[in-house]
Amino acid sequence: MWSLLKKNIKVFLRAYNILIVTLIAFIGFVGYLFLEVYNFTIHHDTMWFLLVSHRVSVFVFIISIYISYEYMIKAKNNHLDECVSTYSNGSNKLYGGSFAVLLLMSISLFLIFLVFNYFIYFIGGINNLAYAFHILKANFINIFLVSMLASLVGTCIAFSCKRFAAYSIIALIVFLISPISEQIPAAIYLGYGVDIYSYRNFFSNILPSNLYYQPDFLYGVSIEAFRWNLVGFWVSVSGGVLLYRFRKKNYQSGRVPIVLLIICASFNLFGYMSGGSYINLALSPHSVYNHDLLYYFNVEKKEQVAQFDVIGYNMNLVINRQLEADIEITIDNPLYLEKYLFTLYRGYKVKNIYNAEGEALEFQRDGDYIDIYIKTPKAHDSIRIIYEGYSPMFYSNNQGVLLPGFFPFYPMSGHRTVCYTNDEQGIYNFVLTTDEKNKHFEVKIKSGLEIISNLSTTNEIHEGYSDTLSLVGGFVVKEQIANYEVFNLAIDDKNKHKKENTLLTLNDEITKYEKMLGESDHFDISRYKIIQAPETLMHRIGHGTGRGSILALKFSDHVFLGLGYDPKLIATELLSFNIPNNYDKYSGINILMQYLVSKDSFIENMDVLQEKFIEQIEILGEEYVLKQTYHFLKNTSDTRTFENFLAQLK
Amino acid sequence: MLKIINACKQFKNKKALDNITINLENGVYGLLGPNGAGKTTLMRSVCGLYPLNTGKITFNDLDIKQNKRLNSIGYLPQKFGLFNELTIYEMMEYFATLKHIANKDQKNDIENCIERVNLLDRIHDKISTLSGGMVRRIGIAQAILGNPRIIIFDEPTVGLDPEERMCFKNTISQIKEDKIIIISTHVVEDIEASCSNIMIMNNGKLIVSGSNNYISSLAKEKVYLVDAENEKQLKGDFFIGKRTSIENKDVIRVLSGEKQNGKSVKPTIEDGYICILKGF
Repeated sequence: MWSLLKKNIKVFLRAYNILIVTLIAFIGFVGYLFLEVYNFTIHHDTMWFLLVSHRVSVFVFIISIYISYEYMIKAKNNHLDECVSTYSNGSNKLYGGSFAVLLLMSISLFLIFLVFNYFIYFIGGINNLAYAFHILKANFINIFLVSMLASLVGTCIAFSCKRFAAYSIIALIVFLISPISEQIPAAIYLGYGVDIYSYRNFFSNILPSNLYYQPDFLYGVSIEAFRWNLVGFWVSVSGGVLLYRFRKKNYQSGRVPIVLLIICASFNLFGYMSGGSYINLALSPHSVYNHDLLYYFNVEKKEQVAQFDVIGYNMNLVINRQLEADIEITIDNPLYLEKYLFTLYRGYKVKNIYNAEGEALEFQRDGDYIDIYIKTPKAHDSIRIIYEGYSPMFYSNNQGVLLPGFFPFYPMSGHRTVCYTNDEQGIYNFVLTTDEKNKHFEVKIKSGLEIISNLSTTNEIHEGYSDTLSLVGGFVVKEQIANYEVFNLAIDDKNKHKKENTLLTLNDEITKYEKMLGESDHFDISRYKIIQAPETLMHRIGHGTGRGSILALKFSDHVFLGLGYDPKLIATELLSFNIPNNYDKYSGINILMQYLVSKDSFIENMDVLQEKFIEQIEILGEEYVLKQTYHFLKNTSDTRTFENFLAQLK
Repeated sequence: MLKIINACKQFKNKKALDNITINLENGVYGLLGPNGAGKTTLMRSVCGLYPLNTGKITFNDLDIKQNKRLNSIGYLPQKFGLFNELTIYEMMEYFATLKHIANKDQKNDIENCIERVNLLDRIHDKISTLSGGMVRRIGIAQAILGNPRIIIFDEPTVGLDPEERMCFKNTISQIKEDKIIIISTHVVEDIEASCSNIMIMNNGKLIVSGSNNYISSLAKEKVYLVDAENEKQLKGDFFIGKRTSIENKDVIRVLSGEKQNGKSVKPTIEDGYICILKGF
C-alpha cells in the first residue's frame, strides 16, 4: 500500500496546477500562523491565538475542495477505473489510494495548526489538561474535518460534473458556508422581518463561528455537539454519495457501507436538529446580543411578590446539550392559594408540573412567567416542575456552564422583571440582584463537566443555604491567588499578575469607598466564594446596560469578580449592590460610581445631571454630598428622582 | 476453460446480451460485430464488471468474480488513459502493485511487458511525452502484466499506426500460449492474422462462431469481382465492398446471395462477416 501511496503522491506533486496551489496554501498558512505567533508575543492570549488561527478555516475548505477536485478529476478522466476494475479490489485501491493522498493533505494541515497551537499553549504557560484536549478537538473539527469534508465534496463533484458546472457548484458551496453569506439573511431580516438564518446555518455552522469576537475563557471556542453533528452529517452524506456512485459502476462495492453512512447521516441530522445551548455572536436575531434585546423591548414586564415563601429546592439537573431540570420546590405556605406564581426564563420549556402527591397541575406559561393553578382547595407545601431548554446568553452545555444566581434558570417565586429596559436611554439590563431570603438547596448535577457552585459540594451533590444558586463549569480551576481561594479561569493567562494585583488591593479600595460613603457594614471579601467572571458575564451582559461592563456580581455567599480589571471599578460595583434595585435611581448610581472611580475623567465629559452633581460638591463639600447621595440611593422610602434629590440637597 | 452459459444482460429496455452460451478453450478469439452489437457488454461481463441478469460465466469451474480476485484477467478497455505525471516504468509499477505482483518480481515483469510492446527504450519517459498509440501499447502491456490466464482487448488497435498494429499482432502471437485471448473489434483485418477463432455478435446475440476458414466459407460463391461499369446491372440484394483497379479496369467487390455477372473469387473472413450480417 505504501508503494501505491508513493505513486499517488508523485502524481500529486508532479501536477503543477495542484502543486503550486498546495505550496502557496501551505506557505500562506504557515506564514499566517507565524504572524499570529508574533502577535501573541504582544497580547499573550492563548485562546485568542486558537481563535485567530482558525479564522483561515474557510481557506482550508476552499483549498481542499479545489485540490481534491483537480486531483480526483485526473483519476476519473484517464479512465483507469474500468481497466483496474478487473484487478482484485482494483477500483477501491485506485480511488482509495488517490483519496489517501487527500487524507494525508488534511492530516498535514491539521498537524501544522495543532503544532502551532500547542507551541503557544506551552509558551503561554497554560497547565490545563482539559484545555489541551480542547485545542485538539477544536483543530480536529475546524481544520481536519473541514478539510476532509471539502475533499469529499470535491471528489463527489469531480465524479459528477463537468468543469464549468463543477466550479459553479464549488463557488456556491464556498459562498454558503463562508461568513460573507451572513449578509443575505441579515438583509432579509432587517428589510422584511423574515428569518432564514436557520437555513443558512445548515451550511455556515460547518465552519467555526464567533471568530471575530473576544473569546469566553470559561467556554473556549465553539465546538458544540451540534457542530460535530453537522459536520458528521455532511461527511456521511458526501461519503455516501461517493460510495453510491462507485456502486453503480462496480457491483462489488458493498451496500453495507452506504447503509451505515445513511444511518450515520440520519443520526447526525437528528442530533443537529436537536440543537441545544451555544454562544451565537452573529447578527442573527437569535444571537446573544439580539435574542433578549428584541424580546424584552417589546414585552410587558410583570412584578408581583409571591404570597408564599420558597424555603428549599431539591434539584436534579442534567447538563448535556442543554439544561434538563427536575425541581422540587418546598413552600412555606399554610394557606390555600388559587395560584402559585413563578418566574423562569422563557427559553426553558416547562414539560410538567406536579403537586406533592404526583398529580399534574394546570399551568399557564407567559414568557418568563408561570402561573400554576390549584383546583383543589388545599395548601401545598411542595411543587415539582420539570423543564428543559437554554438561554443564548447564559450557556449550559457540555462545553461550558454559566448560570449566575440572578438569572432565573430555576423557578423563582413571584413574577419578577428578568430584564429591565429603558426605551429613552436605549438600555436593557438583566436584573442582577436577588432579594430572596436564604433557602436550602440540594442540587444533584449530571454533566460531563465538573460543575462549581456557591454551595458545598460532595461528589455530584451541591448542598447548603444561600439566597440563590450559581453554577459554573468549563475551564475553571480552584487556585490560591493573593491568599484568596479563587475559582480561576485557567486560560486567562494574560491577566495572571493583574489578577493578583486586583485581589491584593481590592479590600483597601472597598474600605476607602465605604469610608467616603459612610457605609458602616464592612464588606469582607474573604467571607465570599470568589469566582472569576468570564467574558459573557462582564461584557456581553454589560453590553446593553449603558455602563459597558459588569465587573462584579454579589450574592449572599459568593461573588463574581472581573479579576485583572481596575480594583477601583470592582470595588464601586460591589458597593453598588448595597443599593436596592430601583431603576428610577439608576442614573444616580452610575453618577456616584463614576465619580468615585475617577474624578478627573468624570469632570472631563459631563451631562447636565453630572454638572449639577459637581456643582453641589463644590457648594456643600465632597464628603457631605457623597454620603447624602449614597444614603438617598439606599433609602427605599425616598421616592424622589435623582434630579429632584440633587436640586433639594442642602 | 472459459464457459459462458445462458448469459443475459439487460439495460432498461435494451437486451445487451441475449442468452449467450459458448465455451472457450485456450486460444485467440476475435469478437466481431457492428456498433451496439453487445461486444463491450460481453467483454465487461467476462471481466466481472457487469453482473449478469441471468446465466453465469466461469473459468476453470470457478465463478468469474473469484477469478477476478485471483487476478487472472487482463483487460484493455476501449477508453484508456494514464497518469501523465508518471513515467512508463512508474505507471507499470502502479499497475503491478494493484495486481499484487511481488516487489521482487516487479522489475522483470514490467521490463518484459514493456519490451513486448516495443517501448523499452522509452521506459523512463513521462507518459505526457508519449503519442496516443504508445499509450495504447502501455495499455496492452498492463493487460499482459502478471501473466493473466484470460486477456481481453476491446478495440486494441484504435489509434495505432500500421507499424504498431503489426507490433500488436506480434505481441499476441508471443503471449498466446496457455491463454484465452479475446479481441473485440470491428476491424476484421486486425484479427485475421492473430485469431484462430471468430465470434460474431449482433443485437446482443452470438450469431455464429467458428474457425477463420469456417467464417470465410460462409461467403463461398457469394463474392464477385464485377466491372464498375456493370454496377447498375447487379441483381437482388447485394453489398458493394472495395473498389479496386485491375489491369486499368475499375472493378468492385460485390457480396450477394444471388449469382452476379462477374468473376467469383475466394472469400475472406470479412466477406463471411458481412454475409452473416446482411443475411446473404
